[in-house]
Amino acid sequence: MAVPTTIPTPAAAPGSAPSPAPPVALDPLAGFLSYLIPGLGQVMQGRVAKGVLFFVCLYALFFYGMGLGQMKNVWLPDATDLPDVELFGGKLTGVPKALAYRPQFLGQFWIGVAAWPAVLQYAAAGPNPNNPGKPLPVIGRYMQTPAEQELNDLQRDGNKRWDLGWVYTLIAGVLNVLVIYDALAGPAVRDEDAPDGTPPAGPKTEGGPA
Amino acid sequence: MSLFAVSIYWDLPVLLVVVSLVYSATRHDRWDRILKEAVGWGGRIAGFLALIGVVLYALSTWL
Repeated sequence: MAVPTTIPTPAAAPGSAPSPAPPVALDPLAGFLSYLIPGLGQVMQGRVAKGVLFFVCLYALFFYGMGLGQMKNVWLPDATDLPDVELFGGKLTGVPKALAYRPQFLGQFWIGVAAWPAVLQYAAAGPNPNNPGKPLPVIGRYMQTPAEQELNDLQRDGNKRWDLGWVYTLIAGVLNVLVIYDALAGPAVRDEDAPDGTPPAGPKTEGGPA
Repeated sequence: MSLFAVSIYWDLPVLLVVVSLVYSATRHDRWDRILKEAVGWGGRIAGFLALIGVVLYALSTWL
């Protein structure tokens, strides 16, 4: 699979200061794949070990956080019947209003496919979170908005672990933004060749070898 | 000692290791540099958390 290439730059004149490294061509497909599943874009680019590292680390953190919260700390509520939320003089509706009531999901969403059940539950939810609709096929009530009483019980009996859990899931999602950027444009620091002379396996710069 | 009782603080190493490794891996492609930077960040984060813990312990004990 093709990886990002470099933009050709004129060779530096002898004796002049070394020219800056050529810019990296972006790889939107790899970025999108890394959004779907952390590390998948890096695997597609041939950086398999790094992709596996991202996948294992971020899914471990995300599901560890979910486990701390009894698997009930990732959801997007249907806020239709909840009190209005105003932003810059306008009333929020739909997803923006739901995010205003559950801003944590704004970070959790970036973990990718693993957070999509919450989106499906949001799309299928009734307006009253205390009277949820039928369980969805396959995923059942996974990532469904918990009833208020259940939420109170989780927070009261969880020894702070329920709250710590959603923090972990949020951090996993935000870290995946860095992973998406790594797939899109390569690592923040461009390393020189490895000591044994083999070039680094990361995204290439434009005009460089494919 | 209460520190060694079942505590949410025992969940922190997972976070520390993952954040250090993932952040470092997004900065470098070479494994020697990834690991070196991860160890550095892990140490800095652990030191910062330990410092905060000591300060809070001192405040709650002597204040």
